[in-house]
Amino acid sequence: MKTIIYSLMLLLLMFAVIVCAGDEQIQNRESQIKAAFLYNFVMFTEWPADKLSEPNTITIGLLGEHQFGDAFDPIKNKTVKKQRLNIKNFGMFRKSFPQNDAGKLEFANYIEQLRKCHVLFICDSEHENYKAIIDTVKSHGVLTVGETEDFLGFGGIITFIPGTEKPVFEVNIDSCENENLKISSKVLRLARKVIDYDAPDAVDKNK
Amino acid sequence: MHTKKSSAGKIAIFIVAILLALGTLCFAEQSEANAPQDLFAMPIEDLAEQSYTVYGASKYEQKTSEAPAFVTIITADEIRKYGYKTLADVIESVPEFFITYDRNYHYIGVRGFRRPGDYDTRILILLNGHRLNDNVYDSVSTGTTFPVDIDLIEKVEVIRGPGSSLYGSNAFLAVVNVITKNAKTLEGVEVSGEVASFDTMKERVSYGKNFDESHNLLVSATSYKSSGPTLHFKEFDTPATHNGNVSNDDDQFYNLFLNATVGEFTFLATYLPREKGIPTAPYDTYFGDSRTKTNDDMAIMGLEYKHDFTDDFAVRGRVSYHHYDYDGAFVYDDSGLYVNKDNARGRWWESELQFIAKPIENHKLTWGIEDQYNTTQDQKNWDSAVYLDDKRHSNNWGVYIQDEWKIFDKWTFVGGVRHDEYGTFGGTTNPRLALIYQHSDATTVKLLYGQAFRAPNVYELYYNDGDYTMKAADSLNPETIQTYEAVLEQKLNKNLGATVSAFHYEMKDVLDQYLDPADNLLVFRNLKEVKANGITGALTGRWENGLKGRASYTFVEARDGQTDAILVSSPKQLAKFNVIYPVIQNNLFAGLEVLYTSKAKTLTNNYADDFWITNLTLTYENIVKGLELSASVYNLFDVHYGYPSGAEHRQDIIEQDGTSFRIKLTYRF
Repeated sequence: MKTIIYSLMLLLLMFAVIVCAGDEQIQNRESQIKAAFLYNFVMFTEWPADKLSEPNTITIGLLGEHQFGDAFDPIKNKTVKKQRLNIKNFGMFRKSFPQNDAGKLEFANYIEQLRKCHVLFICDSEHENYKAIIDTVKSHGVLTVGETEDFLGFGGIITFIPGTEKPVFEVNIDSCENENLKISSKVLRLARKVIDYDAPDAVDKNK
Repeated sequence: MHTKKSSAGKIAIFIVAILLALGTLCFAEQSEANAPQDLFAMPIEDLAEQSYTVYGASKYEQKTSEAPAFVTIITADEIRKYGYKTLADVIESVPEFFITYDRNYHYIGVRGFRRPGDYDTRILILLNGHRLNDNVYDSVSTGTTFPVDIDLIEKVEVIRGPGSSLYGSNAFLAVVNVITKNAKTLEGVEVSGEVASFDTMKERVSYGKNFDESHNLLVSATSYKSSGPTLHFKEFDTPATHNGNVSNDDDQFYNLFLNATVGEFTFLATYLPREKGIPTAPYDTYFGDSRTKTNDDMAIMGLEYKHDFTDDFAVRGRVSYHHYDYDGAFVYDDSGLYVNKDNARGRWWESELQFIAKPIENHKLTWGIEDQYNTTQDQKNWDSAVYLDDKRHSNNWGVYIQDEWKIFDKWTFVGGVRHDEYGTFGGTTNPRLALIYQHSDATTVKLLYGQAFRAPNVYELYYNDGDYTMKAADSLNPETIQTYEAVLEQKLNKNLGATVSAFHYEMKDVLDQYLDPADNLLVFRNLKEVKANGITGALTGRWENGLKGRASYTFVEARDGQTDAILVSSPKQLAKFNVIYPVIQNNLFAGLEVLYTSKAKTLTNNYADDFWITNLTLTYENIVKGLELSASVYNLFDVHYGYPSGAEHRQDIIEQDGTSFRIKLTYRF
């Protein structure tokens, strides 16, 4: 009998706590962790001065059919490095635009938006467009982040290794230097591999 | 036996008391599931340690908050930073668990239950999903006999409560799933060496290589040797028995380990033979003779296959071959010394085929079939004459199904049932029901019911020593347990998570030794009933500066169902406090552990005193890139303490080590 009373009291307590607690969305944990990593990459990367002189925002771009949902909500419009953090959803990569003036303008604008990103997360759903995307943002100081093992071979800078229990990532330090980005040793130390493709043919081999 | 507490000890106790007061106020433990805003606040090093999933509770990977159980996960990072030497150390830090050691084997107690003389038969231990409990004694000892070097463990998932609805026998009180490292978590060459008190040395070399995304290999070799301390047992303090002084507490093992992935197949092989001197003179053996010792050899070869046909249909298959040899040598004095030998030989195949499907919306079905084919289950005992030469083989199998049904947005119902068939006693069917209410990312409530069983093993069924003190039972029924549990997991703020779990269980037909008045021989019978009520509050915390920790308090009353007496070797209260403090960010960490165990009754109705144990480990990472140095002090305040022993010992309480040290150097390149 005593047990039952204790159990009931406990249940009551549980529900009291629930009523007090806020209502939050349930999300995919892997995506939540990756979102937090992207945020950390912003904090621990130094961009060239001209990249930050843009109108007071730091942009994380998301490309492809990602699972982030509202994982970024807690940091939306947060101030990082004295800039407002902006999360921009590009959806699937657009390859074709109407062949008219309006289309050309739209295309130019689209490309510019991509190039303005500080961090660009490229989902595994964009696997076949890796080369096109990375070529598009090349030399514009974009920290490209992927989630397949071959991403670095295309010139991507950081990639999460799929199929692991915990977040595991690798860094292509060559691409990083080519974009004039400085990733903190805090991040590099956690990387499983920091790859140095010094021979240009090494890059080709991975394509 | 007396307990000594220094003033520094009292301060530590005070800190723990405050934390626990806080813990019981809000009630507490959330193992890994931090709300998203906390992930953003977390230091990147901790973020890298976050697990995407938990596997063991439902046999497929899922979030801890969705698991139909109270789950705790201990990671490799914690194993290093708290200086854990064996799996037993890891389990001792988990809320609701306690460990005892009789200077030969470590034994797990949980939720107030541990029967002296029992070889951990009521806890199922898995290694990457393969069952480890042997087919003679049903045991896996978690000390130096555990078949994988602690350094190769990536994660330990502890799932409390009955698991027979998925796992069959042994998943009685808890399931412990040990997940090893592979080349993805240990790449390159790693060499490690340690020296510790009592002439202890351990060396390891490991090599991990990733050929591509789906082909990798990890191989490792370990050697361990310890002379052990010189011990004094007052029970043997006579001139004839060296005044109770004895030094044969030596312990040595080596371990060979291989883990390889080829596409969708994962192969695991591990071999660990251990030799241990027994200083306690159990079973009325001759005190102080170094020939009294045990050898335990465990080897496992396991193959696992995973294939996802679609996002909604997957198959998992595994098959493993197990080898377990036990060789005990016991020296007796009967007008001259002679050695009595006690052997067990276990060989068995384990296989399982499992399907996971989402046939209709909001339902996730898991079903499977498992078979254990015991080719050898032999026991032998002899000296000048053969007293026992029992050869057995057997087969048992089980089928199971579980449905995880998302009834509404926030409500999930989990229902599962498994039927097992044994050659010895027939069939048994065990269900599990769980209702999970996930109010928000911060709050989860779980109401759980489960039934579990443990099949009698060949030791309990057939062991006899030539009808000298023990006779064979020949026919026994399985033990059963019914468990009711309510769990609340609650984020308190962005740094603190709390869990509270209240449980009630009833065991029936518990196997215990009984002295048959007809012939004055000991024999196993389905005798005991046990009833227990308990509650645990636990807190876990993580702060932006890298500080992290956990604190828990458990109160449990486990009683004999017939006499209502408190069980032997059942401490009513456990308190645990663990914290990792970054002394120098990213480089120097201090791992402090304080464990409290309340007094526990012994077989002679005395009590082993309560005790506080404090362990401290300093870990310096990346002295140069890849080089790590750690220094540990165990039982910092040199507290004298001991555990209630089994009936085979003349000692009522077996005293444990005072302060000891370890220095460990690891280099990865």
